[in-house]
Amino acid sequence: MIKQLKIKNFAVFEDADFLFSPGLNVILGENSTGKSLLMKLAYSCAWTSANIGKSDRRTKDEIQRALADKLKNVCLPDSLGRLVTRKAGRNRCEVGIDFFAGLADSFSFSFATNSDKEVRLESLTPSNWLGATPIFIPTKEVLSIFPNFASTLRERHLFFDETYLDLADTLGVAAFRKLKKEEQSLRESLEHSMLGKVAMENNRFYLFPEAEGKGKIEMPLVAEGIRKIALLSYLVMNGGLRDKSLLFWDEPEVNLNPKLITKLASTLVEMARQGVQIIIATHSLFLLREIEIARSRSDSNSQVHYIALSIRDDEVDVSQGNSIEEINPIASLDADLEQSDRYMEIM
Amino acid sequence: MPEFVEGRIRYNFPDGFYILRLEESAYYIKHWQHFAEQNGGGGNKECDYVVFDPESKTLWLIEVKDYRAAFRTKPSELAVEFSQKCRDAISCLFAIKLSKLAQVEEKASIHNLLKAIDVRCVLHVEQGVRSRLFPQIIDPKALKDSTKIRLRPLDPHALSGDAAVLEDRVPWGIAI
Repeated sequence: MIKQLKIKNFAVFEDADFLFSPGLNVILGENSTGKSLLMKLAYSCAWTSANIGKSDRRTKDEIQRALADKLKNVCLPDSLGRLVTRKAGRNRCEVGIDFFAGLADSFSFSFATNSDKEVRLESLTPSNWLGATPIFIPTKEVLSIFPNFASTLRERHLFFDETYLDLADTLGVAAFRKLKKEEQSLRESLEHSMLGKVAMENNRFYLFPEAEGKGKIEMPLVAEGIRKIALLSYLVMNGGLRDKSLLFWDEPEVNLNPKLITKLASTLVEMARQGVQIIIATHSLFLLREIEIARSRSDSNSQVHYIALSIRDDEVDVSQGNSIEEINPIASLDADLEQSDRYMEIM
Repeated sequence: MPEFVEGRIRYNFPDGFYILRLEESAYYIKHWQHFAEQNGGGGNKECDYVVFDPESKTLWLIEVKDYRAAFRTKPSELAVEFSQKCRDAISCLFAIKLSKLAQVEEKASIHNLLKAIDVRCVLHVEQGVRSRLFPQIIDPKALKDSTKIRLRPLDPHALSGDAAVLEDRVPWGIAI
């Protein structure tokens, strides 16, 4: 689980220090404030940590190469140096990430404007590798394109970033025969909202509706919002999302109707309660409020950490806290009030 | 029960409550308004009512907006304006206490009020019903969130809403 991410000169962030809760973390901000890049940077670091931790290739060169490759394949710049904050002359990006088990930076690295695909490892706390491989759910839906997607992506130049490939790999893992009690309850709750069950047959995903006589429906024929809930359900079923897992989800509300957003919010709060660290980026005020309602209803003291990004004087300003009142501005809330202004003008 | 009228809204404060209309205060009119205009760029803003509950020693700062009658403040500016009014009201109270230009009677009138040990901010907004897509001009949830964010340093539990929302949360009566 990620505890802290310190970055200097990365994309739109000149100097920022992000704290994360072990539960649910919500990143807010208008377009171009760096939400997705921030998540991709954190994901690349977490993914590298988890995979280095599992492998016996842990020399400095191997770690540097793994970090650079992951960052480049996830963010897709022409060269790694393109991710360094632009300014006259050369500049250097510095990143330090700390996981919850660590006492200091679990590792830190840097790269300069002229870097093609090289990073320099600055510090390393070798015992602090992340336990579980993180999952990144991108904005585009993947269940319907699953068949042969991973193998095609590996063989050919397609402009899908590596989060798609990683997710496809995770989805390729078969479901457990038996789930833990809490996971089973989460699965049933998700199945209740999509009125069916998701299953993989012959390397293809299908929805099996609850209603008798409906047979099975191929995933591309299922509504896109339901496919997202199905994806979540399958990740619960195959253990992709378990205690100590780390889930990144960019704009989870996309294509969901308000009813499904309500279900999504309660599911995220429940998964966080079960020990999954979740980092989402959202534009939806509706989702934000549903998370607040679900958090208040949850019997545990589930913590939600909010990070608001905004542009001030051409720089990205970071405001963060453990309650919605602690952060400002909330772009979607301001937009809601500005809509009231416009409505008042036409009255 | 002292009754105060603000447009179409009537407030009935319990006996014993001290109610101050800052905009009617001599010091405010003669000195404070001018002071703020000269130095604040945009002048001073005052809450409609400053109310002291002697039992709980709570100072209530109350602002009233009746969108049924007039659309004076843009919804996106409402929380900002309210927070400025609360800030300016607190400043003005202390100015009356400390300034040699404030009259003795006026100083005496706020003497008890400054014994408060808690401050609560209340934004009373009446809107009426508008249309199906916009039942109210301002979404009450957005109003509540924006008010709480803005007022947090002064009152983390700042209240906002119409009479139906406020009636169980404030110790005075409201008739709309």
